[in-house]
Amino acid sequence: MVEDDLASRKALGAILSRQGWEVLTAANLAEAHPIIETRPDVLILDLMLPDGDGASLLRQIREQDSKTRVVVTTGTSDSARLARVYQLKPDAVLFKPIDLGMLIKAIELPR
Amino acid sequence: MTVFGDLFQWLSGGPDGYMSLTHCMKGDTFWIILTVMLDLAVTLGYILIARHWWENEKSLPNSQAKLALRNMKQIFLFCGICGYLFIPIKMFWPAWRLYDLFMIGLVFFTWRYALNARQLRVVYHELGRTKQLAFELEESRAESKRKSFFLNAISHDLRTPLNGLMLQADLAELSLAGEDIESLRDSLREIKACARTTADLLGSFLELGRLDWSDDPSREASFKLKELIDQVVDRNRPQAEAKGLEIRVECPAGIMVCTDRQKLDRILQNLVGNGVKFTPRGHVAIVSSRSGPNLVVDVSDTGVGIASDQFETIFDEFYQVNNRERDSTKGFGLGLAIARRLARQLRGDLHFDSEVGRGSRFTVLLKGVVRDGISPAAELNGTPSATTGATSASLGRR
Repeated sequence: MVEDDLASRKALGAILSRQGWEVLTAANLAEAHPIIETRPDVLILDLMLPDGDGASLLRQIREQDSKTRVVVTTGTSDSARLARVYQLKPDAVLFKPIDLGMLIKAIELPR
Repeated sequence: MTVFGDLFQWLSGGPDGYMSLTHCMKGDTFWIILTVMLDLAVTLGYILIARHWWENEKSLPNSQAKLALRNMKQIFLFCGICGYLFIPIKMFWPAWRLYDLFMIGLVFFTWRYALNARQLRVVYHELGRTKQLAFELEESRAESKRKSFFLNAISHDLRTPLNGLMLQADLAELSLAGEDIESLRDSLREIKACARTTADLLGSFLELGRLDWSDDPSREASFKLKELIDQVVDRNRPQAEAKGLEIRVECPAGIMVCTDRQKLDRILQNLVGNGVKFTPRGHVAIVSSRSGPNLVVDVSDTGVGIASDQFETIFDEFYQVNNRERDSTKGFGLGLAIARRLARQLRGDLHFDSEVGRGSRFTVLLKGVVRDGISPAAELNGTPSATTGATSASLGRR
């Protein structure tokens, strides 16, 4: 999970851990790159990160042709930015504040 | 005699005709009247064209059309002057009929241009209007872009703490169900922090709105500036000390000001708070002085600084230096927008000067707020007051 907001990161990490997921977290792009190298099953990705655009990670995953499911979570309302994200074909895009039930459904669906 | 020779002879008035215009004008009233009429007609045509040029050149904006009109005018004036210079020559030149033919042609083309010019006026008007519309369109696009940025920033900055709040609430429910009291306590603490962040943003946003859209009269009162600055410094000292920053103050103890204390407090708090937030090492300095009845307060830092290409946007709402991705730990980007509005409400202004890597200096200037009848020591005149005991700020003008 790549999320810069500490409260969201801690809460979601704890919830998913309780559901049996092994959760690796990153607060920015720099921390996220080593996690991406491990080819996780699911990536929960925030777009606006302190050191850059989260969409670059999505692009990297799509270029790697990895089987990682990518669920984008964002608080942005910038339609141009969202259009660029949709072009990279994320498995789901959830707008903050996210609905936990929808997030869980999104990460559990097979690719 | 060749065909050319016959033509030249006819144009010259024939073997028995007039050999020159002077010759013709000596005896033939018809040719005299015709020549004068043609000259008058051409002159009148010139006047109409000149009027058209001068009128339309003024109404045209700076454009290719204006340049073309000016060039055409100069060419036409040159031709006209040459035409009149030709008069003395034609008086003695044998081909005077050729001259009259030329004049008839000139009258035709001059008047056709003069009449067409009336329609051209509409074209020029439309060109000017197009230019104005293009300018307005550009303005409108810039405003639209600004609003999009504004809405996007609000959307992101509000949704982020709300997201944390809701997820922590979900976690709290799970903790409650699992009777995990420690985790529940953590969640409640996080929920409170998220709610506070949201409330801070809403508070700042409403304050900005109130400053923009409603009359918020200033409640003036006299107070010692040093006391206010000390309060602001005390409020920011914990964050500064946590980062190892020094806060330097240089303020004569005797300065009394009469202004809205709450607003000046908010201005200084925003500036000092920003200084602490964006300065990784070094110091933040608050230096106040008076210039007659005017108060000048400089808040400078040795922080990251602002690049010159960002100078125009620094006071825009939600704008933050080097924070395109809206890192929430750097705040919302409303502090400077609010500070400048408040300074202007207090009959003053807020200016800044900055250099990347060296720091920034924000200067609050409030006119006519310093009260007389204070101790002469309060007059700084660029030297630190002995009453402060503070270190002189070492930031040069950048």
